[in-house]
Amino acid sequence: MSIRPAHLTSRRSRALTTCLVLGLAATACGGGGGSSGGSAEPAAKQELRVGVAADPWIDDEGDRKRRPNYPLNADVCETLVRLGTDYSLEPMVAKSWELVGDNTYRFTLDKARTFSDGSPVTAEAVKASIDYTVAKPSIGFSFLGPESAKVVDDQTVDVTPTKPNLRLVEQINHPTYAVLPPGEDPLNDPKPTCTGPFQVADYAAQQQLVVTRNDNYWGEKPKLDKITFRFFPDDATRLLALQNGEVDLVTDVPQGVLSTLEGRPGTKIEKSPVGSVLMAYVARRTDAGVPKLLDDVRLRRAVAASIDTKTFVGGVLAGNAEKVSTVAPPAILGDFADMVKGVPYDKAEAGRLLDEAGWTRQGEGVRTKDGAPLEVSIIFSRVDLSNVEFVQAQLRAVGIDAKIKQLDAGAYRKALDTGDYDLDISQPNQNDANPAFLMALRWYSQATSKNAKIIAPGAGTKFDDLITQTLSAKDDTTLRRTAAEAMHELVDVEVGGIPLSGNYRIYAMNDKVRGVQIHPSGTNQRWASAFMAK
Amino acid sequence: MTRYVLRRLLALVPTWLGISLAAFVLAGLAPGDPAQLILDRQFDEPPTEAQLQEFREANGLDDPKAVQYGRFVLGLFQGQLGTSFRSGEPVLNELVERVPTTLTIALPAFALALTIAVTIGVLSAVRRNSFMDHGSRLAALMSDSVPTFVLAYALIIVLAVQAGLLPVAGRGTWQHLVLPVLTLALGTTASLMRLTRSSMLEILGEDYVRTARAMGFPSWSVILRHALRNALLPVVTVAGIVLAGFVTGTVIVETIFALPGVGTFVVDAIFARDYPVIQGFVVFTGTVFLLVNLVVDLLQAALDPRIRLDAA
Repeated sequence: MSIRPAHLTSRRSRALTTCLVLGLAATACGGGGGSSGGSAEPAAKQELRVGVAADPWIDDEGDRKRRPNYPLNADVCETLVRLGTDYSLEPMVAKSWELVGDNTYRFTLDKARTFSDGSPVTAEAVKASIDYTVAKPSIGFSFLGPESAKVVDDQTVDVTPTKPNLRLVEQINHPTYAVLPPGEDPLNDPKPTCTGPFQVADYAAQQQLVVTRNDNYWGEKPKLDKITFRFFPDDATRLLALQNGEVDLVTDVPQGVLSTLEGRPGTKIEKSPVGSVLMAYVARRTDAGVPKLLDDVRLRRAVAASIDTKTFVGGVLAGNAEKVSTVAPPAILGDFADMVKGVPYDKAEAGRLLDEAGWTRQGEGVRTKDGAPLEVSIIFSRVDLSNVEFVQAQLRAVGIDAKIKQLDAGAYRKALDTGDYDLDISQPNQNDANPAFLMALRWYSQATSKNAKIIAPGAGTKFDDLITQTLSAKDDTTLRRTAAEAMHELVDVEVGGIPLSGNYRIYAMNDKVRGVQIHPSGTNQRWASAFMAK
Repeated sequence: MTRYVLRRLLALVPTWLGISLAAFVLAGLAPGDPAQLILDRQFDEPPTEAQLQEFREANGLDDPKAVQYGRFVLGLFQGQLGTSFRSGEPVLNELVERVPTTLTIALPAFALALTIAVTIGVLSAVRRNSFMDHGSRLAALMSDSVPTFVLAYALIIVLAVQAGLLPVAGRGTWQHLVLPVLTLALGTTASLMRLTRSSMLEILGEDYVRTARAMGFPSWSVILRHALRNALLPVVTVAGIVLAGFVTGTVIVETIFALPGVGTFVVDAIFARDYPVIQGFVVFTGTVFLLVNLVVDLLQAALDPRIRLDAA
């Protein structure tokens, strides 16, 4: 192979290529060819063709042979509860739930819920689904065990986590925990029976997934007869397919090409609320526990204060994101989101903190201490290079020399595990309703990842205690308030994570596509309300 | 001839073993623990040390490197390339699944490139300094200067988006193959064409060609029977390398046109540190190159009997 793979090129160059390609295509077409809005009346043929990125079951992340609705959201399988676009919980297969005892949730089903073959959803089916998931290590059901699910009666099932964890309901809405009929094996069956508004009609690896309307759907019937998800690993090709009319909608449009698409006749851009936060994780110590440069909170605060996130959002991201102070989408904290302030942009304060820490500067050069330059390394893997370069430039402006390293998945994982970096810039998605999920996963002292030991404030800190409390919070208000307090500790006091922007999910579609409600989470998109207009 | 072929086949064995060693060593040099990487993707939470250890033991990653290599080579002699860490499927099966996709664009592209290149190369040499010669050389220069991905997008924009003649990407019909085949072929034609032209020019100046002309042979006979046959020797060598390159994967073309061939398969494996797939691919690539080179040598021997005699 002498050709450099597209995967290995930076996201910026890919975005630039995409932008150029679309620009050329637009010029070549003279900007015409679009319709002028169309009618809101449904078309006779209700088929939606969706262009998505690489086949999620066979992609560069490895073979994740899970369910047909995960990681791709085809709306085929459903969970006991669903995640609303505001990150609240809503009934789905279960009509209600309640805490019974100290660590058990009781889910009550509705007789009206049926699988696509018309058979009713029973408590036995829910138990079988949980047992199946627990038994398959490749699915990973980390907080439930073989004894977790117990049938109370035909319509009632109790679920008890293996360890005290009242966040069960917030976590069980993840599509991994879909409800299946007994005996179903979606790992080996590409067309499983589920309860969703659509059912799998055809799957051709790395080519397409076709779903058709489930006429037995228990809820409001979907308007579309059929959805074809076509896989396009290349961003530019995906968008050209939209332009050529081969697909009606493309998901996850790169930010760099939005300006090219906006205003194109017949094409519209729609965005979700904030669903992920781009941020810098700060490495405080090595895997051996040796303090690193940024173990000094003054330096961490100086780094945070040197980054002008308002300019970042308005300039680099061209307004296609929001300035946020939280490490998770603000909506998940509800009214308590304001408790997290973020470190304000203040170059003078950054300089003062660095001076105080003994890092002095001559003119506009790199700061030094005892003759050593102030250098930090920034690692990233799947983030746009332009975002990282912005941070690099901001740090340089206050006298910090930042070295950038873009790593592939293997090298990136190794760096995270060993602490061979100072700042890690990445963009995790919030896919469940637990506001403390990301903090518990990444910064909690009891998290199992090696990286937690490198970035966590540590056991016994106020942050750590608050995360422990979130696991036992019994009501939503207490949970959100405690999570907000923990996030305040993490962002404002410990400066263990530096939020850079709150990002949207962005779809481009032709103007005949109507009713698509873009979900901010990467795993909860639903299609039942979508339809094609005349 | 038989002895010549047997000798060449025997010479392949040490080369092939060298390739297997290189495949084994190179795959292991990449940073990152495959157990960690694979299990990270299979679990929602980071795997425990016990799970990591179990994975390493199950896949022989704890064995000494010499033992691992011995197992690898033994498998190769049994026709096995190992088992993918990610899918649990035999690597050979996974490659075999993807090779047809690659071949459906590689072989037509190769045939097209060779046909255009030899035809224009010969005509350019015969009509040296003509308008056609200058035009084809200019076209070749431009073609060589255009990166593959630019050519691919240009073809999509002109033939699919603007003219509406072809689909942008994907599989299913013959129309889906036209753009990737054109991209691959046009990206290679220029160098082959220039090589054919220069080789032909050299041969056309040889004494035996002048003699043939002086003896009154028809022009087409001199060109096709006397000159072209000898001029093709270097072209065949380069064409062999081009064909092997096509067959072993053309990542950019496969990615842009959403074709799940060998190239994208191995790139995904590299990111995932799926060692058996990487090693299997290197052996597969090496084997294809060795076999194509063997065929090239045999073709050259057929074209020029002196090669056979020299070897004997």
